[in-house]
Amino acid sequence: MTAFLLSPEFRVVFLGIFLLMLDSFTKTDKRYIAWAGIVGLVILFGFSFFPGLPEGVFPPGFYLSDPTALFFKRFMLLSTILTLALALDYSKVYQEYIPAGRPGAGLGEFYILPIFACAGFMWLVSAADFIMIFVSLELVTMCFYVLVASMRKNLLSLEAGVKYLILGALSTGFLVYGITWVIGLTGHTSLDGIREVLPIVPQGYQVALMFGLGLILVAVGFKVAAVPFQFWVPDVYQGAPTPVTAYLSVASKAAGFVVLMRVIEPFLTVPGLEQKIVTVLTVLAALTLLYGNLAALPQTNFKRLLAYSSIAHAGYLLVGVASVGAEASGPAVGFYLGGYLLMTFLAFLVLVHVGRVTGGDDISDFNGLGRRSPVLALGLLIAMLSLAGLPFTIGFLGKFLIFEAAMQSHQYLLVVLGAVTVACGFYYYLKVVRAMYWQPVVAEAPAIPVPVFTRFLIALLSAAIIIFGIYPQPLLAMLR
Amino acid sequence: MDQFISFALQPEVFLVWTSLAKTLALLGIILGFVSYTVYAERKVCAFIQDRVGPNRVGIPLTLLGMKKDLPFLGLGQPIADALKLLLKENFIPASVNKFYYYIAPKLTMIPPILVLAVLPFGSSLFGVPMVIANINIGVLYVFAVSSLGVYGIVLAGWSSNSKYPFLGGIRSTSQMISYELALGLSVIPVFLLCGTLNLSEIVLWQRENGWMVAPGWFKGLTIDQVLHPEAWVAAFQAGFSWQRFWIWIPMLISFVVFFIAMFAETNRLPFDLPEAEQELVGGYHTEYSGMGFALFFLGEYAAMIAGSGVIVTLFFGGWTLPFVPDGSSPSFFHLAFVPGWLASLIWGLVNIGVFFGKVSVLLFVFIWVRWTLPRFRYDQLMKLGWYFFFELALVNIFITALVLAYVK
Amino acid sequence: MPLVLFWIFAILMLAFGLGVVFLRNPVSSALSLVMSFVALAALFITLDAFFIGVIQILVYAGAVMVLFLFIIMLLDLRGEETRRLNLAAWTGGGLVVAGFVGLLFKVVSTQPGFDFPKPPISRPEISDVALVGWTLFYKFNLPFQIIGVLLLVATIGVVLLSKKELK
Repeated sequence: MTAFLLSPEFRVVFLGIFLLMLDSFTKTDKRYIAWAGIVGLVILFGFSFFPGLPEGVFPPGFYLSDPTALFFKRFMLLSTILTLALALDYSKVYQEYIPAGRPGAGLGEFYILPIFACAGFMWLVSAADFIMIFVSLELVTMCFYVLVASMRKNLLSLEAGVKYLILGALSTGFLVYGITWVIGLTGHTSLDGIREVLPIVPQGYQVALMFGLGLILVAVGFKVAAVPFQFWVPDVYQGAPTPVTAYLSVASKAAGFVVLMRVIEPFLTVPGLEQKIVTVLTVLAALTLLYGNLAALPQTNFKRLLAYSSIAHAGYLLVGVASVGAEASGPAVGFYLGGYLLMTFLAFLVLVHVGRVTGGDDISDFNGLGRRSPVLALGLLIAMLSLAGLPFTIGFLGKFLIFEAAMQSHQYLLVVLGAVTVACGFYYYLKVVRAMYWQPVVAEAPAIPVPVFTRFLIALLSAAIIIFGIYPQPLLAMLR
Repeated sequence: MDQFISFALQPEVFLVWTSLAKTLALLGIILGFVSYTVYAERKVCAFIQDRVGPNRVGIPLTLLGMKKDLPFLGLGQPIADALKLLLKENFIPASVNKFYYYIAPKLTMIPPILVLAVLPFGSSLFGVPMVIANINIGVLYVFAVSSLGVYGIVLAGWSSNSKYPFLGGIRSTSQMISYELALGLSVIPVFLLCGTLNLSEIVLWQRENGWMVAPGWFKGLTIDQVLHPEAWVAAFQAGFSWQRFWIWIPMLISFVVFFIAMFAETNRLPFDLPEAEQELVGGYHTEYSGMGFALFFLGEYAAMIAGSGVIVTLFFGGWTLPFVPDGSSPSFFHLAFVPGWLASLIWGLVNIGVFFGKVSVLLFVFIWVRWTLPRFRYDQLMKLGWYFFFELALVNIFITALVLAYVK
Repeated sequence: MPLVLFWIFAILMLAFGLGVVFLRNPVSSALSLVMSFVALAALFITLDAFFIGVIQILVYAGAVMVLFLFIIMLLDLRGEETRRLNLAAWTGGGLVVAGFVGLLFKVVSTQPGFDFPKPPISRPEISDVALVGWTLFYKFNLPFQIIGVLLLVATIGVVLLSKKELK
């Protein structure tokens, strides 16, 4: 029982509860709660490199601790740490928009809810049972419902909250309905059980099975922002507090892809279903690639730009998932997500600081950033180049691995489409770079002070983007 | 004829017609009970306020040409009341939402009557258990059905399209929802103790181990031994144990919370905020007249009776009587000349009588409280519910679990 | 007999479900949902799942929907009844629903499972309340604990989002 409670997820939950207690019983500056959270999560991140739980602590079939799960647990811890760091820098802006009875009220929850979401994410990437998947997905979504809408005096945030709530509830409905069909047809809730039963499920059931799986795909499509289930993304990303946007676009997407790959894996073993699933995924990937990249072109708001870019990246990731049969497809997706974490958080980190001073998040607010704050501009430059996929960055290598996997499984159409859309991506990412270095500074724009910790994070993330872009072996080793 | 009897004795058919008979009989008893509770309310109120109360309506002998009426303490009053309400004009205000205005009183009347279906109101008659539906989730059924009662009140308040009823409806919704939590949580210790949700089994458990509200139990004491004091002591020693005593404490808390929450659920004073006359005219039923008003009135009393029935079943041993070894066995008559079937018939009737007797006592307490205690203020009511009873009921579950872990 | 009951309650449930969507008065919609829940509970009970059926009424019809109704009444959404219909939205929604129902029909019609008799489900020895408890606390213990965390988060969220002034 104690071993049960000392699993990494429960440790994260205990950290969250501890911080809640700290928040309720102390009345001083709330920022130290974020610091405590960061320190705690860093320690837990360190723990993840030591041998984990003994086998058999959890009932069989519920909880996986394979290398993928472990990699993504670290991924989630890291993105939560970065989210808290962002939240620290964002506190000033956040406080303006909450109805606080005294200074600092509501900030504690803003720092603590991501920690609970982190626990949910970690359960999600370890889930090997539909009930587990559903429950932990709901835990995560519940945190996001609250976080997205929490800037209550900001109409955009409220709008984002309502949209996210309604569409989230809709996708939950699809998920549950799909799961019901699959459970009803196979008699198992665990993916292991389903894998065992699938070969003996009669041929005639396959239409119904595909129907159930299709509904689950719709729900997961909502989570990873695949076209045509992407329409909530721009508004929600724009309205949510910036750290939450970053968290949503990185962790939520990664979790969605892990679930997607885990869920379709047993079904791919059935000959009749494999072809259908690949077709569906291919269509989804192609649509997402096209829509995400083309719709990003005319954007003038940086947050919306990143929203569409997030859709576009979902497209590349879907190409990886659709490369069924290629041995490297799983690690390629994992590697791509790892890179996506680094560059997205770097971009949002810069955005938080620029937005804090200029009070807006349009691309024009970045005008002349190269002169106003060279550190931020350099960081954003690296992030943008990596997002666009310039060689010697992690973004390039991620795309390369994905396309390699796609070639292996003969998805030539997707590779061509991917290559074309990458070119498209260069245009809109470099639009930001152009604003930073070639546009004149607005006369009254002040210089942007950057705290030491942020400088450190920018340096760390930039270095990681370039180092892993040249020497990716450590990351890949973790995934294999 | 024989064919008919054998048809009627087939298990399914037998179940159907006995259930129907029980339902009709119980409905008759309860409706009678409702009207005479109203009478009792007026009588007790009069007694507490040092008045006489209704004492005229009896048998109208003067109509037959005699010199004097036979007043019978005014026991005919309910009949006169019912006649008056039936004959009154059913006035419908112009701006109400007709459909909901019409349906709301019925909705308040139905749930308390549905609750009666699972209450074991007696042991058995001719081998037929005296409970209409002996389901294994009896208590939850009671809560589920009575939680629907709030719709009638809320709809009445809303459809009347008038401010006082609306306020009354809103108050009653929040009050009932708040106290439902305490109500539901407070009986969990009882289930923990008995290990069942079936009301009949809870009654049987109490027959074996003593009422929930009693600290010890005179186990084995029969009426035959009542005349011998040393038998009392022996029985007390046989029935009493420290275990039982420790369990008694959480049970008592349970009972108190349940009892008080029941006052709030039935909108009785000191929790009758939804119809506080001084503030809201009549609350949610201000705009009703005639039979609509009567149904609200009767619904309230029916809810009171059903609530008392639940309390009796859960905490006061249901239809069982203390000092009686087994209600259905003929042991009391074993010396006498009566045949076995007659003895069991008498016992069956006695048990039904015991149940309704206990209900009547509780009803008297309901009335007594109403005419002695003042009303809470609204915020006090909410605070009491959320800050005190809810927590107390919650903590009590843990206390019970601890005690049971210690005792077992 | 159970089959007859199934059809009665299934039709009731669907009819009231349609009522939720099509009735213009928000209070009527909410009450239709209540009735739909009650019919659903009846369906559970015809399957001998008494506990789930009763909990369905207790939680959804008796508590959740009362709060819904409460809010609807306080908001006084009278404008909803006179609101003009948006034709494009209706057509779009109708098409989606029609497509979904068509798909469902196709799935059900190709289903071979309805043609052969299935073995009866074995009746468990313990009562369904105990069975639900057993399933929750033993078999699905881990998800059950995650639900606990979820409820904690929901509580925090409610306070954060609805309190007039945070303290």
